[in-house]
Amino acid sequence: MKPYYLLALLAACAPKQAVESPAASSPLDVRPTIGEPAAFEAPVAQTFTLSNGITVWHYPQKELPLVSVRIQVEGGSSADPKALPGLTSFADDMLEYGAGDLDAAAFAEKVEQLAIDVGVSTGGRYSVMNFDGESSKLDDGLDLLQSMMTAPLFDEGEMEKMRTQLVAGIEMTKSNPSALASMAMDQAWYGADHPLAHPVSGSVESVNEITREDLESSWSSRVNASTLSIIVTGAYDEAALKAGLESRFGSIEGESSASAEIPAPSMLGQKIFVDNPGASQTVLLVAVPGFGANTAEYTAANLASIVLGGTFTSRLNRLLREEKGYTYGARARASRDRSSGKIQLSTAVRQDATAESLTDLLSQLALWSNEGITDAELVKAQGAQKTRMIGSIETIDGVADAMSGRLGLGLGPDALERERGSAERERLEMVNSLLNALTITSPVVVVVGDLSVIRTPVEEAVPGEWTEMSF
Amino acid sequence: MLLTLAFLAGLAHAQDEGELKIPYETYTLPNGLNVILHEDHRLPQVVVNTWYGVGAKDELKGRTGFAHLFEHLMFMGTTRLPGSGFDDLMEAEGGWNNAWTSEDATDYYDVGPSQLVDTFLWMEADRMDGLSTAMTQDKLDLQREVVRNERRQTHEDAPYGVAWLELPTMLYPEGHPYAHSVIGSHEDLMAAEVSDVVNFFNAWYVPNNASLVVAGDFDSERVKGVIAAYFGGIEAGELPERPEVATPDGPVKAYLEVPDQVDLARSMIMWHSPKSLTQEDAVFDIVASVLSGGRSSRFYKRMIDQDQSAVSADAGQLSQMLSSLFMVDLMPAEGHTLEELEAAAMEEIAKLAEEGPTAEEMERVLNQIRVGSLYGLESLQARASTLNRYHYLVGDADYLATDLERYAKVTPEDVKKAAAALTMERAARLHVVPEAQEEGQ
Repeated sequence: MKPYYLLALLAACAPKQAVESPAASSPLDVRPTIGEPAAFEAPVAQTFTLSNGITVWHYPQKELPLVSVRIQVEGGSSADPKALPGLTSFADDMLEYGAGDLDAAAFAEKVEQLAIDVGVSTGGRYSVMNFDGESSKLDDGLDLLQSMMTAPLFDEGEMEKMRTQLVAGIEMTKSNPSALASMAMDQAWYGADHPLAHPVSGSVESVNEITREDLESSWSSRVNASTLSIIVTGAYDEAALKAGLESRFGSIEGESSASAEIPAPSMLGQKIFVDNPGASQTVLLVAVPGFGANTAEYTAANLASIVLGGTFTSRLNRLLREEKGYTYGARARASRDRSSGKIQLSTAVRQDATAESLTDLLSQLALWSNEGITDAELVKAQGAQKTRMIGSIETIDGVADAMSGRLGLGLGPDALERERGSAERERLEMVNSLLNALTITSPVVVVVGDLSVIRTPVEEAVPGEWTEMSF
Repeated sequence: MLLTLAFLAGLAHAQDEGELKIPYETYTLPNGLNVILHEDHRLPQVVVNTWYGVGAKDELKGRTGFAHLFEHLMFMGTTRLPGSGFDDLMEAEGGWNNAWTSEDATDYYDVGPSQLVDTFLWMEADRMDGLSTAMTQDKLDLQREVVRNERRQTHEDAPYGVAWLELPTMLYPEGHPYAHSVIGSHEDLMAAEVSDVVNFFNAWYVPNNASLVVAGDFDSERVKGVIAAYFGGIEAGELPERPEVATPDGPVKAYLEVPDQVDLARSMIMWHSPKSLTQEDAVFDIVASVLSGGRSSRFYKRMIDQDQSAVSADAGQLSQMLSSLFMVDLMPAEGHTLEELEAAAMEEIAKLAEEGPTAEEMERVLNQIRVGSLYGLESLQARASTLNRYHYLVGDADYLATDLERYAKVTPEDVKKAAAALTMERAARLHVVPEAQEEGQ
């Protein structure tokens, strides 16, 4: 230990709680006390409606001269025709490659000269168009979003270039073990014919089949007043925003119609192998049913999943990384869709520890469900959840994305604040009661690794019918 | 808070970039610990960022990967807070932490609710004071395995990951501080001993080789007392001598082919370039942006848009403390070869060297750098890290405005001159070849 030659001088500066013990030889010998947490309320969006019924959520943050816009378009990859997986994503990607009177090059030139970000991302249930930039560029950004929405060019030459890029991206995914595991899990979780089972980007075969007419049809069928919602955060003038959105998007037509019903996942408890010859590690995924976004149970499931694998000191990481040294990290997460949810455990382990690690995942899952969590673990999870929420709303685009996610789940403009409150109020008895009721007897298991080495030990450790998938 | 917001507003609107400033207060303890305080009360959170001036470049022969392995060991407990106490105590109250190690430095950061500020400072001071006295063979053995798993996950099994293990040996002569990867070799990781941990700690993890940033929702005057109490008693150390290192003129090995389990081939071309935060470093940043910064860039227009010969074509200045690297990174579209792409890339570089950037290109790049800096400093964590990075690299945390001024000073002639230095004769060229393809040849 190093000497404390400045101790006498510094003791006078020490905080009260650090010098309470007369026996202490150093301020460091006394652990500081921790005060009460400061009050915190999550952002609640204000709302208004355009004349055609499009809902707008907005949340002013005047401190920074930045603004973020998200336009959600119902549909997503679940709207792909069965024969053309990847169509929605392909059409969305093309929106930045020519719209209105700007061809692809002119569009890019304008965006990059203004130093703004304009784009589209495709999810399973909906797509999100985005603008992020300085507040002074808001009108430019809205003009570009309007052009993309109402006048995409879908230029044939640009389409072929995009096709090349998309095919290359799909091919590259096949050499990524984690991506392979996710693809296998989606197929096993939803069932092969489910609209959310296929990768958002589709397959090489389907992308090569898509025509310009397909792209036009995909986009036009998804864009009408009943499928759009808008979110704006940051520094903007509210009156100007209302006028700007109304003039650009208020005349988009469309009747309200119920979106296509998406069936519940099949969750057949399959055990899947994916071969990854030569891999020095094995990727393991284990999933059981969770809870949808609109259920009262989601909050409890989310907190409990943090205990299982949501932080560094969580049960899985402690066991597989910090006690056994089998992995760089082990996680668990409760994800939610509108009407269903999933609790997924994941890790990548040293090849020779594959079977033992899979057994550990399954036994930890059972222990967690059967015996529940402790009060201290719940407090830890509540703290982690609060810190995550603060981190997620720290930036203007972060608030936009957080609100966009809640809107996409069918939640209200006060969803973030409701989540904060319900997490803080959650009781241990409720959490453990929910864990006891989880269906964990038939998990979906995915194992991606060198099957020539790991197949036999895994089959011996977890008996049952194993199926091999390839991509 | 107001100062912070004024800074950000100023950054966004500034014509005169001399106005840019992250508000902070700095001082040095008698033991040499640098302290930087940055208050921001918008949210009830606090960040403590502790930056040590030691990285993979300071590792001894036969101990590659040790600086990073040591970073892992920093979380393995002390006499006062044994076992997993560091993470347990922090996470019990909603805090979290992480760290990273580069060739040049090691950075630890704690993030959490503002009531944890004293706890964060106590834990950081505690391990700076006495980590080595609690080190054991078991701790070393466990984290050695974790790091070897990290190596497998991020390099051996990750697409193109093996290439990054090979590049340092192509670029730097044996014995150069950058001649090995940060993750190190399995052999060297296995060779590490407890005595290495103690010696490394005593040599480098001393207050006069560290800088502490406290950022967020706290009271500076009160926290100064806490810092003095916790860190003030830790004795300064005598830092090891660092040998003078010459920047290599060219690569050690001009070409290497690396088979990998990937579907697409990849060419990585590297040059030695000026060190981080110099004026010339900014010039090479601009060269990279003109070549590959977005769809208006020259590489994109030529190889992806016009020729449709590439699925990606990137360039970047990888800034480092002793000397940097400039990289061109190419992946061919089906039916096209790496050699074809390399020829196109070199033609574009030669054209830039001959003609220089256009006024529109310079305006676009400068706009993007300015706005990118604004976004990069929006989060508290980023601001804390930036303050420490500037302090470490140039000895001045208040360097943001000067940093951005570098870019404004760059002339088209500077860009031409930098591009002209990027000749294939001075480059290291690594090809990643899909294993199936390689076997078939």
